[in-house]
Amino acid sequence: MVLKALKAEKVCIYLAVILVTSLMSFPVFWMFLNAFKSEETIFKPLDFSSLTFKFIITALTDRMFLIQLRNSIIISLGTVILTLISSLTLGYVLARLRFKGKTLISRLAIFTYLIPASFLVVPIFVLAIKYGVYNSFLAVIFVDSAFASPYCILVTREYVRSVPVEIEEAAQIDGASRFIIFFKILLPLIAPLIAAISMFAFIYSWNEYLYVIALLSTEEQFTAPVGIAGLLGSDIIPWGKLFAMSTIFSLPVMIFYLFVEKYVVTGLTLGAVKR
Amino acid sequence: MRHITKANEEMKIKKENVLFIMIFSAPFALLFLFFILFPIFEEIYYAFVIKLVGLPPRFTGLSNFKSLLRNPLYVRSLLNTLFFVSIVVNTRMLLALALAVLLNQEFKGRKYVRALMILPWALPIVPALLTWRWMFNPDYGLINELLLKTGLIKSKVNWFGTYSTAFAIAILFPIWKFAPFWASIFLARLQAIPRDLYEAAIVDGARPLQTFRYITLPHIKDLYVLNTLLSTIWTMGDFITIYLLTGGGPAGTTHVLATIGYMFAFQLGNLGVASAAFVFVLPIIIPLIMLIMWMLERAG
Repeated sequence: MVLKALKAEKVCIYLAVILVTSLMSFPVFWMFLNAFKSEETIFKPLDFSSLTFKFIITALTDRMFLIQLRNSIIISLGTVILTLISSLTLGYVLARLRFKGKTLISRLAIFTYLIPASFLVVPIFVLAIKYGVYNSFLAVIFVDSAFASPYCILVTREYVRSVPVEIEEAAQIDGASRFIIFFKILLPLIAPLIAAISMFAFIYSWNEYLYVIALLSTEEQFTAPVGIAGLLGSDIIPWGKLFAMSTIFSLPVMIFYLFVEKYVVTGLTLGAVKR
Repeated sequence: MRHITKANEEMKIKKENVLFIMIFSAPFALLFLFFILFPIFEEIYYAFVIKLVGLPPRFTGLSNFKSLLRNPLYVRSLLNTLFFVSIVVNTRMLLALALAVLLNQEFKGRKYVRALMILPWALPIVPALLTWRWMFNPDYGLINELLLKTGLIKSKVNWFGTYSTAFAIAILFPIWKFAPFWASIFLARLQAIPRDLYEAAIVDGARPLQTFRYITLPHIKDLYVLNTLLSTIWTMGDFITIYLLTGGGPAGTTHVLATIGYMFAFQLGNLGVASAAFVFVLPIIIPLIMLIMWMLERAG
């Protein structure tokens, strides 16, 4: 009896899993599939008779798309570097040192983490002009780093706290300065954290849309997602090419994602959503 | 003598620490100052001036707010935001919890199922939105094709042509896209619940619903509340879903706060009114942020 009930339960679980998984992952596969259709079949949803690389080749030979892909890479790498600089430093300070104003600083970081970025687009646009960074990649890199940093700071603080302090204390007794301790002792110990932060910042910036259209103004400066979405404005929307571009844009980060997803989620539960 | 050197030594360390703290706080402090704090002040200031692109600001008191509240599109966008946030957040959180509980079961191939489940979240958002537009395309979309083939509809539905269907799709999208993210967070917590609690309960003859009610629920209650609040504030700021899915259409009826503010500023060039559109909701945003901060600090 019990065994039978258990078996029925197992079957139910499997059915639920299969149903939910296929429903949820379906649109993702649908995107990839549409990138490999042809001019003849793209407008027939259920016709998969001729799967080709034609659209992929069209996308890869589109000059503007390649420029925008390069822009995406530059802006994302810039955000990674600036976010690493701003979050490893402050995260370490918050984890290891006691000083006046420490609570205030962590609260400001959490405040930035919570405030919706889109609500500040108007003044950031105005100030970017005043700062003289409007229409340059730097503007987007600064804004993306400002919004990506808080989460990374909180994760760094938690991560550094979990690293035993004894090594640093020993070095301090030997007369090493805080700077030396940070660069020579701590950084090599937190390589996984650096990888996780880099990935978070990269993907944050890779997905950025609003601040690209608000702070940059020419097609040559736009990033790939803005360029791809811009195709919607064409007289005849080139859906096949659009999904080929989407595939080229998405696939590398998704593969990367599946490998390191564990880190990100662990980081999130550590830092932002604490136990 | 020894005391003096020791005191000197400590002074030196203290001084060095102050310098260290200043240098190491500077990068984020500068980013915060220039790209968060000044913009907030600027936005509040702009809410009370007439500011058109290219013209100097002129003080105008509350007239920006008055004109906003007389604007049916803005009032509608506020109601849309309220509606959007409450449905998306609550449905998504329940779904995420259900997904997490499901993935916490032991079954063969769980690792692969998890990877598949993560896919919507791993897919960059712009391609995801474009895929949804394509699936719901009235002429060549998969959804219409399937519904026609199965006889559920007689003629093609123009999904983005009416408010109710367009807005429904805009609500479904973020539920689908980010449920895996929240599920991952729940799952991490579920896996931290000791297994023997469940085993003991099963030995005592507890049914699945009872183990959920008396073991799972108490462990995730606080996290559920916190996640709901976090999700609420982030969903309030959602710009891209509406911008790329419906574009605010048809006839501006599906705008939310983020898209209508953007439209005031970048399509109509009225920076004052656009700022006021956001400043108007600060009395809701700020307490919400403070509540979440308080919860995070209490949890830490």
